[in-house]
Amino acid sequence: MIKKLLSFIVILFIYFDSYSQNVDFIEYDLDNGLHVILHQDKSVPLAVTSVMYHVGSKDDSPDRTGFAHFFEHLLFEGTENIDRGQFMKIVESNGGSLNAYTSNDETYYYEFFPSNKLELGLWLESERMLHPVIDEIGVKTQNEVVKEEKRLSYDNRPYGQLLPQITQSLFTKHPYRWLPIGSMEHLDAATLDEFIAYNKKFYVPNNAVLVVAGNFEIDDVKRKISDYFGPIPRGEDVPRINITEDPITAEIKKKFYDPNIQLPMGLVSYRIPSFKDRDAYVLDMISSILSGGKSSRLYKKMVDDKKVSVEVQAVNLSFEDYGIYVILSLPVGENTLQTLYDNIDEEIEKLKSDLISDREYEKLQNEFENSFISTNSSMSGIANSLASYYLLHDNVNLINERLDIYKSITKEEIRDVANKYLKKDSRAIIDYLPESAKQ
Amino acid sequence: MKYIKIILLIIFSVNVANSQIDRSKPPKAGPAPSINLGNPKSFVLDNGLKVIVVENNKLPRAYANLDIDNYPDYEGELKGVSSLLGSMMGNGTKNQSKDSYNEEVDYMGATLVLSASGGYVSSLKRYFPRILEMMADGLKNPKFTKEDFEKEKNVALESIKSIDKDVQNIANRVHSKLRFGANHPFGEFETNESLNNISLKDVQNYYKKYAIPNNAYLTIVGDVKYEEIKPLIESLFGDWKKGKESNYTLPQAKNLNNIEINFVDMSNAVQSEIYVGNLMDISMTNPDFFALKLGNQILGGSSTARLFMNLREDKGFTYGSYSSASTSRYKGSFTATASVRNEVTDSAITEIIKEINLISSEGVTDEELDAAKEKYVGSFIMSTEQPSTIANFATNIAKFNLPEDFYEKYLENFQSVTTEDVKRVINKYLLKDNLRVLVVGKGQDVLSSLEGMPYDIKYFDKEGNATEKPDFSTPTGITVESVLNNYIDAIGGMKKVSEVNAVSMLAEAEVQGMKLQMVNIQAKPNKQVMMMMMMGNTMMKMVFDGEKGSLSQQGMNNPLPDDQVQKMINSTLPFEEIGWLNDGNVKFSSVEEEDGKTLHVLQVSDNSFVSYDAETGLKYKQTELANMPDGSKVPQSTYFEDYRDVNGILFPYTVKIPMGPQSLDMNVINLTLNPEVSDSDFTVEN
Repeated sequence: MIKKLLSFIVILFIYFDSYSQNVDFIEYDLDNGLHVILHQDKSVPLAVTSVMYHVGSKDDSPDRTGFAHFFEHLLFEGTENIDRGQFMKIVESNGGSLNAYTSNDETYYYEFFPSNKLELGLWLESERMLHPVIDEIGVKTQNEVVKEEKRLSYDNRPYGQLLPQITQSLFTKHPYRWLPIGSMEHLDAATLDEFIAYNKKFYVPNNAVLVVAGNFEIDDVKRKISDYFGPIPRGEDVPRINITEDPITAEIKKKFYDPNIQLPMGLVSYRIPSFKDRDAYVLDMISSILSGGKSSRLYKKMVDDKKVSVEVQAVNLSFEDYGIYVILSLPVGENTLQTLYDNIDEEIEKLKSDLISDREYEKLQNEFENSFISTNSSMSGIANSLASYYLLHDNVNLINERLDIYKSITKEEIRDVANKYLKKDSRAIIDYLPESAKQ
Repeated sequence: MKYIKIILLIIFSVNVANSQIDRSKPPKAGPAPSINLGNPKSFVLDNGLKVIVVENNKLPRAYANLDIDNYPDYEGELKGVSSLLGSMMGNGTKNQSKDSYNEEVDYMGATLVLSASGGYVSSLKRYFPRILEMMADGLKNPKFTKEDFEKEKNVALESIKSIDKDVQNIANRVHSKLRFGANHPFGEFETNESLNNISLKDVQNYYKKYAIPNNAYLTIVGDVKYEEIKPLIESLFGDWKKGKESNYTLPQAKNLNNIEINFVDMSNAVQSEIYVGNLMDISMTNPDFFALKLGNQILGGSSTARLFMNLREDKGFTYGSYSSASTSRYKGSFTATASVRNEVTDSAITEIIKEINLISSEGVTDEELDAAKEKYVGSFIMSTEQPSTIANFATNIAKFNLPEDFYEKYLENFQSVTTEDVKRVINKYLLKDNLRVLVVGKGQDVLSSLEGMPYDIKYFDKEGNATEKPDFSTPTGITVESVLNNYIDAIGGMKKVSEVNAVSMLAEAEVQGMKLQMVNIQAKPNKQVMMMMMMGNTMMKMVFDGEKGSLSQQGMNNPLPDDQVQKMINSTLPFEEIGWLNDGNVKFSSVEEEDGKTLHVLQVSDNSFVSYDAETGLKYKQTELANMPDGSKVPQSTYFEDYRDVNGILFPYTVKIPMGPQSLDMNVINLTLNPEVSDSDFTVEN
């Protein structure tokens, strides 16, 4: 009885001590449809300017895959006021840094400056949105760059075909079946007019969110934003794809041979719901139970105790329309992939039938609280979260509520979600093998 | 397209007319911001531990950094004892087993690191008292086991072995030794001998002597309250026993009287490592600090600085050239570095010295100074976002006796530096007439051009000991012909060798538990076929029919590239040495020492070297230089061992290809002289 009372007190203590600090923000629209989010934080003299466009590889047409990713590169080529190759130099010589990425759903650009140069970031991003130079020279230059990136990151990289093998197994209709890098043939075949049309269609203020985070005066930054971004013309309404996959009703089994590897890898993958779905959060926790750290279930069993696996990872890749849940592992020595699958199945079955222990549950809470706080510990992390929570999750306040969702997940829910999605008859098993194992 | 542009142009001009902004050029920056670091509170424990607390409740987490700031210590014949101690700490205590200690850190989602010179922990606010307690326990009651000691010592010994041929690593340690002297803590380095001198007892003694609070700083940053953390620290660290400080004094390290080249010969070097610089007496409290940092930024602080622009962008000598100006309470230093191709070693030194002279005589321009300020100030500001930086600032202020507002005024001090300041300070600290130029490279290739430079050259070995000028002259009586003839005699003599028309060979190797097989058939005059198989599948097949060749890999057939074909047409198989005897392009390269053997090295093509054992005459290794995408060259050697007699001729039965720390060993299973071969065995695949 005393023990029970003690644990109750501990729970209370944790509850009241938990993270309650809000990330404050202001949001509004410009007349041209650009959504603006401001997060003021005067504790350090920095400012991030970032723009997220709601265009990713799922917006590529099936015969022009790789367009969205190509644009991430192309839009660094220059604008009517920024000469070719100067974008980066301007940022560097002003003590700033920049970066960009393209995913399946979105494209993100950001600049990071001392706060007295915030206006420079606004100028750079508004230039990019207003009048980027899209010409033959730029297309040709970036075509080479992207090809080199594909060679480095996919073709010559061991296990470089891993993701496409999974996406092609789980998706037959949805554009998630191809990767952002796309097809080089498609890019080679594209004309300059097609690139210009793609830019006009997607890289418009009404398809973007501008986030400014850091040390500034709100009135001043609002005026500057309207000066730099106000004159950019609104684009036409942006069409959204709406493609539903049929359910997977029988286990898919595949073999793939990679010339760049020596050690085979076993992949167990499941199609899961969008990151907007509560179940996706539960699956995040399941990943952590299975393979987060050396005391996690799969790691401890397969790597530490039985020594059948060199490495095992449960990964939850969530996107706007669907997600991918994959457990990958590499065998030690003569152990077969089947041994790995058997071990993985055993642990998944355990998750489906038994509730996790109190200690594991507490550890999960600690881990997720820690990582939640880390995300909000940098200005660039906050800016990125604000942008994607607005544009992709339709809830900017997730930046404050996300941890509450994780904390509200119960042991029972973990068991139920495991039962709902980690099913044998709706998964894909891919034996990812060295070329030399081909019979 | 045109239409769109016109519309945009109209909007653009309207925009300019209506608002204050001119978007045709980058907007001007506002006034430099100042940094609000918060006010650290501090107290000192009776044992000397200085505690600095920065309350920052922005996030519910906290961080503690411990810096045991002892006076530099000379480890001498036990060099390595401090790093061994460091790797053994933080692995359980006398009160908590290793497993339990590590699991608990994981459970809290926390981080804990300890070493001989300090450590750090970070965690959620609610676990901070516990992680701090674990830090204190790990610090005060570490458990040193024989098992851990042996393990860590072996790791250290392995790592020394692994750098024996690493030109950059050797250059780095010799440079420190020459600059500071062998009897200086900054000049000594670990050796096999010094590591083997160390016992577990030494580690324990070192711990007792140096893990003391006398000059230690504990910085706490995060969501803590001073009133709460102070009693906690007093109870956790109050009984950390004060030690006796050593009365050691650093020896004097001196600059040179004239520019001097110090040369270390490494025959395996495919590029030269160059260090140019001098020692300087300047610490952070010196007002010249800011101008010196900016001056160095312009000279060599980044990939847009003068050294990089000259040596890489303009001349293409190198993959990078940079300089640093390190300030210190003990001894500061200025160093310019570059890794350059062998043939431009002297030119690179000339250009580096030229840039140092130029910045000394002409100073810097306003534009350069502005850009350097921006870059410096920008990255400084960015760094303040991390609590670790703020912790460092607070410790530095205490440790280096800096004014309380040092970091508040930091940016202002940078902004107020003038071009005159930079020029004056450069001339004061960069001793252009007293530079030590260290070159570590292949003497055979670079030394003659260095001798043409107007500086004295002194020679040192890989341990930084003075030595004689290496002798690269070809020993009398040794020629390409003698080396090749010795080899042919050693394997069985020209008569026997010339009777061989073909050789077929089956060899096997093991790669990550899988068997790799190689079949190679070579036939006169220059035909060959080679196949690599794994688990019964052909992974690669190369065929050369005497005129052309093909390479099949993963089901793809490709013709051999022209340069390869040209090489193969001219080769004499099965014994290439016969052809080299009459090949005017084969040159005597050098005499080298390896693994106690004297080697005679022939250069058989631009990127290919073959070494023969001087004593036995047998082929010892073949080295190919591979061109990397960044322009550098990486040597890959193949070793020939275990020569066995096959019908009166010696063949190597083991061929070793080192790959990182491992090696691929091909063991010959079967070797047949004059097997039956026909042209159909050498059919090129299309």
